[in-house]
Amino acid sequence: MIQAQNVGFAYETDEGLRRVLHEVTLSIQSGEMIAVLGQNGCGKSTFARLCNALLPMQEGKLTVAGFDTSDKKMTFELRRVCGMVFQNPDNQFVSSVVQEEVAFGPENYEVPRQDIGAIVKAALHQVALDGFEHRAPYTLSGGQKQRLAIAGVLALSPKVIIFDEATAMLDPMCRREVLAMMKKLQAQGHTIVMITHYVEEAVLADRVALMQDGKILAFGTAREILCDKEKMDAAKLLMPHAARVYYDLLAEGITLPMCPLTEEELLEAICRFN
Amino acid sequence: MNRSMTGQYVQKDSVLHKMDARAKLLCFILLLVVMLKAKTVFSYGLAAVTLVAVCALSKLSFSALTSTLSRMTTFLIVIFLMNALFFSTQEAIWKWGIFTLSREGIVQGLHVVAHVVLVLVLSNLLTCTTTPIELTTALEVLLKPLKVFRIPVEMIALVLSVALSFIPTLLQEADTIRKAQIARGARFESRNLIEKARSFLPLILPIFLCAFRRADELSLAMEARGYRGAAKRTKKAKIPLKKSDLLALGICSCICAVQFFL
Ligand SMILES: Nc1ncnc2c1ncn2[C@@H]1O[C@H](COP(=O)(O)OP(=O)(O)OP(=O)(O)O)[C@@H](O)[C@H]1O
Ligand SMILES: [Mg+2]
Repeated sequence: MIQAQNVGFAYETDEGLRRVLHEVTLSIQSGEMIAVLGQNGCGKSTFARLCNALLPMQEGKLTVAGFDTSDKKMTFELRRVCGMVFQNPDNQFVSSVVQEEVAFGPENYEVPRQDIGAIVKAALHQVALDGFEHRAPYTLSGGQKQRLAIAGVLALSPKVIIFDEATAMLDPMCRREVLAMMKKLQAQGHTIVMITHYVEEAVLADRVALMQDGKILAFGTAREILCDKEKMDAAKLLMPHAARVYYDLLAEGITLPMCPLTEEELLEAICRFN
Repeated sequence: MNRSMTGQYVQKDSVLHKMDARAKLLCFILLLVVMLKAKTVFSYGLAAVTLVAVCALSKLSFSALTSTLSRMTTFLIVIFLMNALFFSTQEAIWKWGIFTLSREGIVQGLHVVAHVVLVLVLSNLLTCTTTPIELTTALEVLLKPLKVFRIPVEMIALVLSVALSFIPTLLQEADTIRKAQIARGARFESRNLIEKARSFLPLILPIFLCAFRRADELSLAMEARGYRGAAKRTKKAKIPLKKSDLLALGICSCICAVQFFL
């Protein structure tokens, strides 16, 4: 669904060019949930913006859902199949009414007026915001705001949805809400790219791309990446709590049968140990 | 935000709330003329009676209707004094330096204050009974003829609606910054006007920065959803005016016409 071949990118700044992506090569399958995990400033958002052609391609080749992102003529079509949810819910709303907000995307694609009502209703239903049609976005909770942003993207029925730290500004409850929504969308056949610096969120993904200073350090299943002490250290990230306990026990001479990712797995591993 | 905003939409079930925003906006303009044309006792009478009748139709509370006024008493006093004391005339009642108090000046001041009061209440009526989105949509329709002069009407309407959606966020942000500044010793609550004004200065820069950052992110979010100019979008639905809207327009036109003869 997303194919990146040696993608490079540099921003122009006052002090000259500033390289933020180096030879990024990735291949994401259709229907997968991928986490792009890395520290602040390692170039995650830059990569996401390239996928959506919000930034122009400079080096390498990037295809998303069959569209070449460097093809300027197809940018408009590309953005329909590749939706993006941003970090700050307050800064992505264009309207002061929920239903108009969801209708913004379809209106840009000149969807006939008579079809828009049904699209908006369906999108709001998918994110469990039925009955909020006439509310003002700023009166919603943080989690509801992000779900509204998701509805705005869903109204275009995209194949790929990129979440650029969409949970970063939410409290734990709201964060869980949005994560559950991502899982649900994946189950419905959307390809999900979750950009995050929370290791605990990356656990939910099928595969994890570990980023460091604009390079992909490793790409593999969540277990392969998150339980690999060396790689995680190299990316300057803490492993998930359960995996840290595993390594602490290892240091004490206790070897559990497997490296757990979640607290439940840790519990299971400890039980099996006895 | 400790105070609610004045002139904000108040949900009520009234004829005025149900009226089509386009018709309402046109009626508003007609009645605005009625208010500003008031000069004689009769014309003031007509303006006042009309305004009271519309207020009654709106089902809004007295405080909602006059909230803007009570907030602007100082302003009203100032414009009255400006007119009363600086009216150039021979027949001064009282003179002191550059100040000249005269009968004509006082009358002039009263006229201006009365006009401002009438217009404020009328505008308040409009914004309290119409949601911002209805208002911008109506404005877009009414400004459409300007497209002949290559004025980007759709874009203006979109900018307005984006700006409207931004106001609550900006107010929240301002409040957060204000609290942060209070925590660092700013004196917003000071009774001394100059001190108070000065304490607001440090608010301005952060608010501007917030606005710019938001504009940046918002433009990205809009582009990501396929925005490529206001003209290439699904057109707004065409809803014909109801009979009641036409009736209201007719009545307002009549009142406006009568006002020209009083
Ligand atoms: N418009 C820009 N001009 C110049 N430099 C930029 C620009 N945008 C980002 N950068 C720099 O590029 C680097 C990568 O930025 P990017 O936003 O992709 O990081 P990120 O991984 O998304 O970080 P975060 O976790 O903070 O969102 C950062 O060091 C940043 O300072
Ligand atoms: Mg980022």
